[in-house]
Order: sequence, then C-alpha cells, then structure tokens
Amino acid sequence: MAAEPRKYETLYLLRPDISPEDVSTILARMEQSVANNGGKIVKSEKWAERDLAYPINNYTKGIYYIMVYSAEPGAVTDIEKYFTLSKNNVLRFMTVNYLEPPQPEAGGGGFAPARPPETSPRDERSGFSAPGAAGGDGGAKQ
Amino acid sequence: MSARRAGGGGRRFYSRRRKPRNLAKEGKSIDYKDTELLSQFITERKKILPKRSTGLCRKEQRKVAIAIKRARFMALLPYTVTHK
Repeated sequence: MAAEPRKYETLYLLRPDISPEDVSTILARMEQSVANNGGKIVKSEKWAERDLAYPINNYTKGIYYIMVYSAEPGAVTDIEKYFTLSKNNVLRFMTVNYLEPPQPEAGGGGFAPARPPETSPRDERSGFSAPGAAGGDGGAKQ
Repeated sequence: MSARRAGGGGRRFYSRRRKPRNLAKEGKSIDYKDTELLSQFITERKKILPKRSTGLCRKEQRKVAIAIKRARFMALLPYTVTHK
C-alpha cells in the first residue's frame, strides 16, 4: 500500500424490529468487506436507538449502528451495495470521511461519550493535569 | 417574531441579532450526528438559518449546512414540521 488508506465512518439505520440474527449477519458481512479490501475496523457498535425525525417505510423508530474503519475505497462500494440489496432491514445508510474528534475534552454532543480518551494526547497537558501546572503556564505567559 | 414589516412599505427588518460565533474556538467539531448542536442553527420550522442569523463565518456556516442536510437524510433531523 502506497498511501495510508482513508478512514471512513458508516452510519446505518436498521429497522426497529430486526432480529438479532439479521444484525449479526449484517455485521459479519461488513467485517468481511473491510477485510477483503485490506482494511481494519476501528470500531463497530450500536450508536443509538431513537425516534426518527420522520417516518421511513412507516417506521417511527430505528436502531443506528456505526462503523469506523480504514480500508481501500472498494470496501465502501461493497458495503453500500450490500445495503441497497438488503433494503428490508437497512432503512438508511451513509458513509462519510471520518472526522477526527477535536483534541480538547470539550468535544460536543451525543457522540462524545463513545470516544475513548486515549486518542487525545493533549489531555495530560491541558485538561486533566494538576491545577498547579496549568496556573504555571498562565503565569509564564504574563 | 423574526421579521416584521415597517409601515406599509416593502422594507423588512430582521430583529434576530447576529452574534459572531466560532465553533472551532468553542472546541466543537461540526458533526452531522450532533443534533443538539445543529438544532441551534435551524428555525422552529426546521429551516436552515441564514449566516446573518447564525453569526457563523462562511466556512463554518457551510459545514453546518452540510451537516444538517446529512442529519436530515439519516432522519436525525426533520426536513420540515409537516412531515408525511
């Protein structure tokens, strides 16, 4: 591989009354597509179960799953093709380039709790260090 | 509410103030999944607010608008209040 493979984030919405077996086949199928395209999964998890903003196929609720992975672009086409073929279970899906979370702990909104703190190396310096050290920095600037 | 007519003429005044705002400085990233943040930039009728009302710079306004549209597609935000 010449260049770093891109990181993608796929959010997909499953119908609320989906059977656990169907969920696991979908998950397995996605894993396989990523593996076939020389990628690896950063995380794959349930994101939320919530009311939809508007009904889709007469469903007012849905289960959101999210997968973050780095792989060759072929993985995305493969996964999306699979989703279009399983329209019964997958109400919506969308793949975007993965957005790295902001470094400070201030990170916004509902997605923040799912993020492990290990990805932000600045934590030690800013947020969580002893208050004395932070005060020292401020003093040095003046 | 937001816009009102002055006299009988066609002039409109927007009473919605614009306070300059920069999300990057607030340490917030513009993510389509963050409906709490995005709903600050839509009207009661779920339309996307113009830049003059959000106070965002054009770069961030654009990102916010795209994020709102993505969220709408994923049924995280409504397109309108009169769905169906």
